[in-house]
Amino acid sequence: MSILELRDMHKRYGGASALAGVDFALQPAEVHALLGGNGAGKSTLIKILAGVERADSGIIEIHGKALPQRHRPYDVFQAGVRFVHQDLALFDELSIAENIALETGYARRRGLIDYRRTEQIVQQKLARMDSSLAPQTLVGRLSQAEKVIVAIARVLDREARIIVLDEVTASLPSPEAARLRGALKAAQTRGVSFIYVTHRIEEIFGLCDQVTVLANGRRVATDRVDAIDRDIVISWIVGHEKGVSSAKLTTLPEAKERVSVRAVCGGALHKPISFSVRPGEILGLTGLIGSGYHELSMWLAGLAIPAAGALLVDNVPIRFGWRRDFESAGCQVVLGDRAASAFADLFVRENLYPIRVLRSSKVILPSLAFERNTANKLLSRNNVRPPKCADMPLRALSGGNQQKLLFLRALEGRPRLLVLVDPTAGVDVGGRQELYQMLRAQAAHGVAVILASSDFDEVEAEAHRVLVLGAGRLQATLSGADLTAARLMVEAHRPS
Amino acid sequence: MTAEPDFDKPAVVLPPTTLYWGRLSAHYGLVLVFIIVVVGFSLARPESYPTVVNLQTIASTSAVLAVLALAAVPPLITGQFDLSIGFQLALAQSVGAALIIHGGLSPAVAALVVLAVGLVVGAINGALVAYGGLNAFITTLATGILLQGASQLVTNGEAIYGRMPDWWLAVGRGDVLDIPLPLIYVALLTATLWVVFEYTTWGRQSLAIGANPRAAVLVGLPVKIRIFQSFTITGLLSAAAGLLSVCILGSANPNVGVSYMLPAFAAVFLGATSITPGRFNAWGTVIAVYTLAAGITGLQQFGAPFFIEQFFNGAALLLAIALAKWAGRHSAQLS
Repeated sequence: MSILELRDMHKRYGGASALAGVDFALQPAEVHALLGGNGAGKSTLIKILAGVERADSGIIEIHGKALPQRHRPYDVFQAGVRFVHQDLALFDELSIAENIALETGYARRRGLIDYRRTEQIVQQKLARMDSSLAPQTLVGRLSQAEKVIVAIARVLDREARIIVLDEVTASLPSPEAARLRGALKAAQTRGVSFIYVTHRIEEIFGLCDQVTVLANGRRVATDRVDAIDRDIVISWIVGHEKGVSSAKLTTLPEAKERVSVRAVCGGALHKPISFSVRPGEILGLTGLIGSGYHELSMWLAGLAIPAAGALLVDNVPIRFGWRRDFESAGCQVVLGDRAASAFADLFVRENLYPIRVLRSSKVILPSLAFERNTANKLLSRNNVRPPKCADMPLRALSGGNQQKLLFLRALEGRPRLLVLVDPTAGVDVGGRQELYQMLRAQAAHGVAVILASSDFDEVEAEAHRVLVLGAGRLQATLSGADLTAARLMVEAHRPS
Repeated sequence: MTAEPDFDKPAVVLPPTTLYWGRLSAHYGLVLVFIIVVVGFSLARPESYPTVVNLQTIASTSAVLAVLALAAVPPLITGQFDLSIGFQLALAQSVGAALIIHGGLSPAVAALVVLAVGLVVGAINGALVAYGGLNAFITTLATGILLQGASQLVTNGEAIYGRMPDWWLAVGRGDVLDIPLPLIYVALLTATLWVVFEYTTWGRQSLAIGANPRAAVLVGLPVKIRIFQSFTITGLLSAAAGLLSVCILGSANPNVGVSYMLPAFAAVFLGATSITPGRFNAWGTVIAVYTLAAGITGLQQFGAPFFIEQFFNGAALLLAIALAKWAGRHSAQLS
């Protein structure tokens, strides 16, 4: 009998369906992978289980007992379910013992903390996972797998029966994965089950017993991991990806190259990579998280410095990491990470301003009324909602509209090269389409565009040509008929 | 990234007309308080409060504090903090008075020396924070303590009294049409800072840098230079505040640093709740200085003891930030 069962879960957000009748069953003492791409519904399902989001309909049973209709996080905790989230919430500057004791309580003697006893208790907790880590070790010194083990040990109390690991591993080298596997096995023999949420196909092999694949808010398949292989999983995911609405970009523009990237490497990207971008071309950069596509895009945005290599725009070398060099070469950037790129507390018109101001030699600004009117005109021309929002703080706008504004800000700089890094993160479907239209319009005007994204559908639909990074190097360059989400997924997962 | 799509709902935004009174009180609440304080004490003490002498006294004695509070504004706008302003004022006072009284220098020359020293001190603070990457709070605490030591060195730890040329004292004590000159200086300085931060590219860049330094780097703003410059301006203005105090008082005291610093910051933060709420701004700062001064003077006329000043400043600041917080929470619920 399963110890956790979710039956016919439905959830809509506005017009979009996030879960359309998902079933999921967890058996005692198993590690069950919940696998799916961006927007598949994994996070929504987990949030509903945790009691932080409410399902529209569906039944959740734990140990054969149904949870109340509108359950709270506390109800799930009482039922023995524990969560370990993506960022692990560990303090690097504190020891393992303190990280765990902060949550579970310190051992005390006469009201004061008894460190010796606390460390003994923590050691016992770690031993339950067959881990021999010394409790005095600083968490900052641990490897990713060891950190996950500490985070699990922290929630592994006597009442814990089900532990949800929500995208806890960025990318584990195989000895690390084996270590984590050992820890999970040890906990399994003590009657604990795990739900292992991930978007990385290869992780489930060797780590999980069972896998459930979600796509577009539906369950595609559930099977034993030892009965399947990577290609079957890919076919499950790809076979259910929805078709792309806009026409694909096929013909590469004929022109001399505008951007030339020569033998850059660093970070996760071990092997130097060279390529060029033509005016009017949208070049996709993609790969799994941790593959180096993100680092590469940050180098090209002028926000980070590679270990080696050169960048030329119109045959003029640009110094990596010097944003102002990039500015004067006409390189503008749009980041999906709005915390790093938007002035949330400033007015919308002030957010649009910095670039235009930079490029003007004027010391005294035109009148406020002029600034307000120009901003409002620009906003209404581009259908930014709510209308006439020039004097609202940026944070009052929805994510999609904020992103559109950052796009407009970049266009204010009259770009010759546009670097977009995960530009549609947290933007809904309608907002995405509008951003894609703006993107294509820029390319049609002869701007060279680099679109870096881990969303395979996005790069498939919106790029002329895509570079796939993986295993520390360039795995493939795809264009035309070869450029399909399935190929992208295969190349991104190709082992070294 | 791995995040699921965020199906965010558009924020509910009320049309501007329904917000009119709320917006008016949020922007000009402090002005209203100032008027109520002045009118209230004038009605309660018609014989002593609304007199020309009393109002002149309030205007000129608070002018030094007003200039110092304005000096604190530029680093706050770029997202930094200069704790050393009071000590910079004390040093300017000490050096200025010592040069004029002990050194026998012309006040004009002394003033130039003081301003130059202020510029250098500000530049050092700015360089340590902007280019050295040091924490502004701790750095300016340290330089502030050093400056206090320097003031004591210059004055031998004692107050300086003595003769100063009449024309120099007239700069601080004179008036035009019964309006004390110091108040005119404050008004001019406030207007200048307002224009600089609202209507120049330099000011807008500083504002953006304070709002999000990472985003400022991304759009190519000169972050370090602006931070450096903001501290340099603070050095210059703190020195100017010190000079103003010398020509109003005709004396110097090396140990006034802290007693000026605390009310100056109180006024800056109080001022940030007004005119452009949530932002440090020049008019708000000056109105805050004079609201506090008008209130304290009124209470003292009712026989309140000398320490009423501290209680009044502290309570007013607490009340103002609490009101601003709750008003902010209210508007957050609207959206």
